[in-house]
Amino acid sequence: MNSSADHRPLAAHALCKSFDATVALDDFNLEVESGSLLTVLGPSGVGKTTALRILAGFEMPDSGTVRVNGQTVNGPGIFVPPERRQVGMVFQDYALFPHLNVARNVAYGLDAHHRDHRVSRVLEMVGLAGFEKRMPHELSAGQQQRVALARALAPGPQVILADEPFSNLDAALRKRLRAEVRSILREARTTTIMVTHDQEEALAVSDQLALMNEGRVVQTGPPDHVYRYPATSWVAEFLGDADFFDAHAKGGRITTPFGTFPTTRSGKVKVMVRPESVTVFPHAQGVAVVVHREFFGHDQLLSVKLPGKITLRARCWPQPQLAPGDRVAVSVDGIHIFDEPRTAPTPPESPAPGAPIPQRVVIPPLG
Amino acid sequence: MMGVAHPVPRLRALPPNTWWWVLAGVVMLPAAAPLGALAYGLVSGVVTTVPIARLLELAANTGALGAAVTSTSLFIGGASAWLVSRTNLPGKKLATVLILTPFAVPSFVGALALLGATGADGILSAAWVWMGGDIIHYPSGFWAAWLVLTLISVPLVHLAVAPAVRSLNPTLEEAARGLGAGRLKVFWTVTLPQLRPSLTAGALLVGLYTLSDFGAVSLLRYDTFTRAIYLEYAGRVDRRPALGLAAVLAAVAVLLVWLERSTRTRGVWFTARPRRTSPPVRLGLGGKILGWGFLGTLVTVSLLVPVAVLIAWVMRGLISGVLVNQPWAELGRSMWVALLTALVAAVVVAPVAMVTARFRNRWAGLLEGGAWALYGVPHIAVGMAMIVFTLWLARPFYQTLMLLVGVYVVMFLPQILGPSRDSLGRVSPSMEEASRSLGKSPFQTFMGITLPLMAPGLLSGAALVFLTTLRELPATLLLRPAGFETLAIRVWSATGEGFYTQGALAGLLLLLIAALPLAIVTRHELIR
Repeated sequence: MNSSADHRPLAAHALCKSFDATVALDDFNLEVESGSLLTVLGPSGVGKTTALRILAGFEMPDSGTVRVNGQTVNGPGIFVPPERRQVGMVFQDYALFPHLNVARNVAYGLDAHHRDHRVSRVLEMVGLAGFEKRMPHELSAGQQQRVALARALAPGPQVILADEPFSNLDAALRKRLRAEVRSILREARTTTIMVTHDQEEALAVSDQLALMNEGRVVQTGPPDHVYRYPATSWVAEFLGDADFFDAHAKGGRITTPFGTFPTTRSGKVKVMVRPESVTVFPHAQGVAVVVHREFFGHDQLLSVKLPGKITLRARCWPQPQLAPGDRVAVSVDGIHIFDEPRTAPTPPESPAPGAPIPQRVVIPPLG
Repeated sequence: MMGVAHPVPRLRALPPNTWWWVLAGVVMLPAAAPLGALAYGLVSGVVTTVPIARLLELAANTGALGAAVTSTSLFIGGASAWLVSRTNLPGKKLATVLILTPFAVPSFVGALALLGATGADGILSAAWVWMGGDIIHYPSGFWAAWLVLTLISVPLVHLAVAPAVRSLNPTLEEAARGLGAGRLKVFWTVTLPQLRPSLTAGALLVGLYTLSDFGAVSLLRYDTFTRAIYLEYAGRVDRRPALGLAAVLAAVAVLLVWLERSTRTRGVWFTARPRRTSPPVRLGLGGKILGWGFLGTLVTVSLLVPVAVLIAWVMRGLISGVLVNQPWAELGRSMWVALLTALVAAVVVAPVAMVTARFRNRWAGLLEGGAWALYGVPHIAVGMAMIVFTLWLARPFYQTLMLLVGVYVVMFLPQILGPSRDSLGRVSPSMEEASRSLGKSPFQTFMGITLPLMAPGLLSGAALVFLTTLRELPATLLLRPAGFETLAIRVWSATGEGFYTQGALAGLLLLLIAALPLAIVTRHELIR
């Protein structure tokens, strides 16, 4: 490893872990930059929590290494127990000690030296100054969560790991709290790895996103980058709405019912279109027919059928004049092209984004 | 801030769970000794040293007593539970406490009270003679044992039935009434079937209790298995007949325990949790007088008269100067051995509770089975088995305090395992992990997080063990070091020799100490 990687707050390399017959982690790689918030995002049961628990030292990997600030904590013949990793943890159920008050919960990981000063500083940071003497059961769910965060922050760990930290909160509180937690972490300049299955949450709070599927990280990068340039069709589909169809690339071009796009590939490919890049407008001779309309108030989702058994969805402003059966013209802002097979894994170090088409291609109506 | 992480060899970081398993296994090993001896007694042909006619006689006697005690206490306890839980009878809280307190009366103290009340110089006899009657003769045999054991068993039934009566689903009864059934028919066809699981559980508990009792039947001279075992042990050099009888008794008890546990899970059919509780049955003035008459008689006979008789004997002894040999040394010994047992049990139960609360696999099941294995096995059978075991295989432990405490702990472990596991269930593993990630070692985590959170359960469990140890008679009788007289032994031997004055003070002391932890104990379950 080079020297810059050596001083990453946390780096995991080639972690593997199986429980009996089920493979939880299969060549799991992850690195986090100092001071950033990295979110491991993936559907339930892909090994996110297992990965986090290995990083924290609660589980032993079958193979692979983990380094905290350059120190190997998991490796061949090496296991540093959780209490000596300098890794803080925020649990899904907060795991506040019910027999200790707020101040003693926060002070639990501190030496006697400077304890009181540190406790009041951290509590102030999470906005709970004055709550020192309260018992955990006397706090609201949001307050409990901030105590859990304060407790993890207090000893000044290299990294804080957070396992689905917002999943126990109701929707309204979750939105408010995640912005709050984000700013607390930023103020504390802490490196954080968070695990979640909630796409919106991950996109909203993270500096870096690590998409995880079937025991490994499929793609990493800033949220908008990953959203715009998904490495695989699985990522595209998991991170937002996407429609796919098969097409044939020949002579540097892909021809679709809604236009021709340049490409470097040739042969059979998979084309992905996001609903927000599709625009439809009524046209008596349009190529497409509206087949379904789902109305959300702030926008609507129109499903349109194109020649060649292609169905696309278009997210657009309510257009009450459009109803199933209407003919429309379709324009698409850009497409992504994936090689077959659909779930070809791409190494996270060199994400191979689909070919984004920057220019707007307007398809002239037939006739 | 934290120090720098140092890698350590993997071996030292043996996952803490493994240590719990090892500890729990070591701790449960001693339970195998009495079980092994009893199993040996059952399969080795030792049983054949007892004549078959004698076995049948004992079985008939024990069965008759069990049936009589169970049916009467079921009737009385069911009625008291209904009166207290379903009617508007005033003073129900006081009544509950008074009805349950006789559970703290050991059967040998009950027998002492009965013997001390009757006969030529009995307290009740004296009162009766003073009123112009004749003396009341000593009761003995079946009816005496039946009376004492029934009165002590009523609280058991009351405890088992009262919660079920409270949670009776009123809509079922209303539906039956709506379908045209009268009150009586509703009671027989709807109410009683709903209570059947709890009545069955109560009946089996009482049956088990009667089967195991040694104190009352030995003092009142009714020939059951327990008395026969002791007589064989005391009267012969050959230990085989005693071991054979103990093995048979243990097998019957295990069968009863198995029945009790299987009815507990399978006897309960689908019941929707009632949205509301039944309105209390409104008793008229006559009903209230009848109800209080019933409960008053019960409390008088089962609690007030026995205590009064004991006090009267102590007073009589003090006035006449006969009470010279006061049992303070016995009191000290009883307290000391009970405290030691409670302490050892609290230490020993920790790993077993950790493992059985945290893991659900075959090994955890085996451990739990080990902890429960001796539950319900009559103490005299355990005592007999341990005598045989130590004489044959562990001679240095024979009649030592260490052996006595060890046997107590193994027998009473379920009493402390239940509550400690309940409180451990409220400690989520993530709390321990949080502590680890905050820089605390497994040991520091256990001391700082797990133990404090487990403490309430450990404490009430230890109180239960203390109470049970204090009143334990048969195993103590068989296994105690020579000359080690406890309060229970004192009561039993003094009563057996007719020195009621000597027994009364020890019995009163025993009741007093037993009443103290009862306050803690009633908060949890009295019996599992």
